[in-house]
Amino acid sequence: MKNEKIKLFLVDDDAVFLKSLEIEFLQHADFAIETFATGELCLQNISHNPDVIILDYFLDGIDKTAMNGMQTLDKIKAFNPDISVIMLSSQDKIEVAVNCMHHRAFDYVVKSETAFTRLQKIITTIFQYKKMEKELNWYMERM
Amino acid sequence: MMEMISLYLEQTPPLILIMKQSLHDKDWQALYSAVHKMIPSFSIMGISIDFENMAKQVQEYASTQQQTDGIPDLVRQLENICAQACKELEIEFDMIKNTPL
Repeated sequence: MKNEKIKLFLVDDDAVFLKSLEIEFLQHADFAIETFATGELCLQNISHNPDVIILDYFLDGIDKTAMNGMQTLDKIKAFNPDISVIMLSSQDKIEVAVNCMHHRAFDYVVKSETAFTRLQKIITTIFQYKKMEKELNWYMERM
Repeated sequence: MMEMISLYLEQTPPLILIMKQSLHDKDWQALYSAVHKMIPSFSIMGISIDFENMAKQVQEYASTQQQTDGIPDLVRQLENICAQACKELEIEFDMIKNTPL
């Protein structure tokens, strides 16, 4: 496990929600956070190697020329498949969730009052998986 | 807190304009997008869940393009509540700004 802080990217074109999420994360946990209003900006900074990205699904709602959440997700995964991406959406729709999973998102969270708690739990799970994966690799190398 | 209020005051009026214009133009996709972006702010800013449900109803009507006759009244109510929220938050913002530390 690294000693450094967990590096977290938050990506949402909704400035109010983005700020509220950033405040919650800074108040309740020790993360290094970078926030971006567009998928394009997130990708421009992807070389900062975030551990986890929380990405809005509907990034092209107002600006039709903007990259949407799925396109951004695909580009993140093409850059580094090990970056865990959690998708966020106001839409509580099963087809949206399934679509996110097909594009290799780690999980899908609906924007609500409980979103932050769910995100915290998912991030904990991500690091448990990563630890288990590391341990498994360690044993596999010695078999 | 001030930053949150300031972001809401910056973000909401243009969304109200897009919502009204798209209703006027019957651009249901743009209406859907504007309302969609307004929804998370309702609970953050302490606006009643009734208005969030109203916004979700507009989203539903806009996406299915059914019962569009009911949309203007809902949009008017959303516009009013957001305008009222902006007015109250501006007062709150000034109060916080003028409160000595």
